[in-house]
Amino acid sequence: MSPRVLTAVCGLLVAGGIPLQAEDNVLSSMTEAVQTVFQNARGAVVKIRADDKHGRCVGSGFFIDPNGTLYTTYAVAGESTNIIVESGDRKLTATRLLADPRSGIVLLKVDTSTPFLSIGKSADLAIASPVVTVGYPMDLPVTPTLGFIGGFDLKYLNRYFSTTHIRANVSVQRGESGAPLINTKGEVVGILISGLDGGSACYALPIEAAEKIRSDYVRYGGVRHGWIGITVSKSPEEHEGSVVLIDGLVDDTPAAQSGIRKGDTLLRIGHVAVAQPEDVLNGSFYLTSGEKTSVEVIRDGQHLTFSVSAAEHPNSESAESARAITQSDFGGTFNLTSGH
Amino acid sequence: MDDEFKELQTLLRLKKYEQPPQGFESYSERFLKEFHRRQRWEASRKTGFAALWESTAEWMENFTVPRYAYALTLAVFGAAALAINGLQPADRVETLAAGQSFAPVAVSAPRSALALNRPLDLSDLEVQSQLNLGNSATGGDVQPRYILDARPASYDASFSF
Repeated sequence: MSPRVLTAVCGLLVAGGIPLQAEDNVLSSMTEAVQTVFQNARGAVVKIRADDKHGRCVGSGFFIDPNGTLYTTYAVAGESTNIIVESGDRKLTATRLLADPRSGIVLLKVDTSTPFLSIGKSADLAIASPVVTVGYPMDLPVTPTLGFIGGFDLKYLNRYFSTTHIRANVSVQRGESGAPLINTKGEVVGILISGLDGGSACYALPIEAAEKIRSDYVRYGGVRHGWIGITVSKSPEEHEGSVVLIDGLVDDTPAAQSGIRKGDTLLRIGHVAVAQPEDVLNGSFYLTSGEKTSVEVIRDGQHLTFSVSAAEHPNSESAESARAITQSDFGGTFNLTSGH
Repeated sequence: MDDEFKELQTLLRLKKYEQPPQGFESYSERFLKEFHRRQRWEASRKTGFAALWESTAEWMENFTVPRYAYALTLAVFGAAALAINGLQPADRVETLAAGQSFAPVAVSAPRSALALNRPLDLSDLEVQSQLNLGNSATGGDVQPRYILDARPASYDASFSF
């Protein structure tokens, strides 16, 4: 064999091995990243036991500050009693600070110093971003699960959530309700709220939505869902990317007194941009009664911004008065208020 | 006739002094031994059931039953079958009447049943799921219910803005 042929053969062998080498590197670096996230998070993730009307229930939760404040879900601790938090070998009695069925989360407190997870930004996530859940499936020890962001959904099977939820292609099991959804930096970006399609994927509440609830509690001692009193419908014409037409203002509401008019095209509520009628759900979730928020509209081609002081949401006291609306309701002229 | 008789007498006299050939006794003894050996070998090959069956069949061959006995046996079996069938429904009714646990199942079923006279609603599936979880929790006194909802608690959003 001539030296040239030998060199060519060696070159081909080396070139063929490079992709395999790169694949190994990707896998090993991913494994290392997941192990790091898990090792840093496992101490802050707890198992929660409680009694409700069906008997003893078990879920997961996680600390978010060193003073023993933790998040879990309404399904685990929203209406239950005798709430016990298991952290390592310790079993601590927890106090429920607040329970919010609208977001589906509960804030608990134990009287001890605790490790905690730092809060990240779910807005930085994109589809296919890797995420890790760390929870307690069934009666098993704390377990990490790797997955990827599948989407950001405001509705599922033609029904709507109270705000956009993170859909993660992470395999979850019973007992993991309330587990944190963690990014590759080890920051919590969501709270695992429900399984999807038998547990092959899950929905997580964005951590910003949970933090809005916690912020209400810290400042006012309770949840204060806001309301400005507008009704919207889908406009046949698009203005600056929005088809959301304000088609009514409820009497004696902040919106009616702010200068917003019927016929304005809605562009933004607070920090949430509005393009479709469903987006108003998302924007209104972050309203806090008693606080001012900016509402941006287009009127006769002009951009106008109004400062509106939100009132208490009419459904704050009675969840039964809320009603579900299907996508067919957005036919173009549907009034989105529920008649309060 | 007398001639034939005389010839026969002569032959018998000759047979009286006839001797078996040399070694005939040992041959007959071997034959007898061989016969017994084979008999034992065949007996050892048979299972207990086969041996019992053979002896029973042998006994039955010698046992004669009158024909009316067969008819009588058939009649007795027929009467017994009729009696059993006649008593069975009465027993079942009594069990159902006494068993209180059957009634609540029938009453509570429509709440979670998937009715065919209306469109399927997701809440039907939810109730079913919760009932299953509840059953599993109450199945054992110490078995807890591991929580993972099938849909978010906030699924029915309020549309008041």
